[in-house]
Amino acid sequence: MLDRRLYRAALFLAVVGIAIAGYLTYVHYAGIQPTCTSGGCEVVQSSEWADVYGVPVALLGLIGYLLILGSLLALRGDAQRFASAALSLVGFLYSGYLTYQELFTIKAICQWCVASAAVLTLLAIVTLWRLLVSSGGAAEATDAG
Amino acid sequence: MSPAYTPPNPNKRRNVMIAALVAVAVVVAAILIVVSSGDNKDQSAAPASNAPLRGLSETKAMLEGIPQEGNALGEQNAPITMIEYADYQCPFCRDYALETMPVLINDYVRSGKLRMEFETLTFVGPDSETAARAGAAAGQQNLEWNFSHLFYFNQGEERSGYVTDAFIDKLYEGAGVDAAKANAYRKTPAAAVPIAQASENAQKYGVASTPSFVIGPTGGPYTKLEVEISNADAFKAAFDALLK
Repeated sequence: MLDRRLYRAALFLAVVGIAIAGYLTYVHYAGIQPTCTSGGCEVVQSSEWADVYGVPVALLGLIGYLLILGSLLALRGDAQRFASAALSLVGFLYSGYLTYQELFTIKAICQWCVASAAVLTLLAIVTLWRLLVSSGGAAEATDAG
Repeated sequence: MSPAYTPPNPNKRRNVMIAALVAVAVVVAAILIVVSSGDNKDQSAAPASNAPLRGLSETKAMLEGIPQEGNALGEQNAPITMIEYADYQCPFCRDYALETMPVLINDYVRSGKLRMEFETLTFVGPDSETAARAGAAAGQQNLEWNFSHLFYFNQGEERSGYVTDAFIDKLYEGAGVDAAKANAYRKTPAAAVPIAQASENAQKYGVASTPSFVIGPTGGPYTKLEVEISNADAFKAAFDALLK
């Protein structure tokens, strides 16, 4: 039961993440400005942390979320739990680093980036929790019941 | 007693795997962080004070023979005008200035079809205002475009404090600006007037980022131009539509 609920929560969060990162990737390539009420989006998006060797972090985020969603949909059992938790954890740590740069180096806040960091934090919690509460293949049987 | 067979404890093995997963995730994230923090240190480091100025010949070639007046470039009676809202420290403004703008100047400003105006916003940080004041002072000598183009060629890392008096003096020298006069002017309240005006106009047009552009028949009314800054053809299509 719990496993299934956490699975659904992870699916939902991955879709939300895809929407946010997809929007930021779109505005990056369209050359338009993200709708921004914090006033810091253009500062953050034009900073040196906004891309990695020319690849915008928004696109990295989108790829990450798609991989998480893909792992949840394509894999089964423990492979699914391990893959989604590993991907979410990497995303959580990296977005934590970016948020740190926003707050302490760039000193500007981009609410879309913060929203994405929050989604990744929740994803990391949900997928790790799911990994810890299930005991491998055995959980599958109880899921069905 | 023969030793009984004890199957490996699946929970123990699983916990080891989870620990390994966390370790791998930490390593992968650390690699990502190292890669992303080191990727553009070289090109964006503040220019050394004794480094030669970049872009002298390019700036000269782009602007030679085109009239300038304050912050405006091109014929006064050009049928259309495009106003750019820029921040001296903004890297996208540099990309536009160095990659797209020379084509537009060559094809439209040089032939008298387009006039360009350069308005400076200062949202990135204090260096933006120092640079904008210095640009306005160059504009007093009708050399703001030479100054700003050289500035973008030699742009440093945002908020790294590279916009020093020495840096400005070097740009003035390269742009052919009378440095003594310009340095006196840029510290007066008058040099801040164009910044305040630009900020007011930017609000009027709904400009929230740099570079942004508004275009229209010279004298107005102007409307915001939504184009990708790297796409010279999109700019040209907008000019052609107005020139029809």
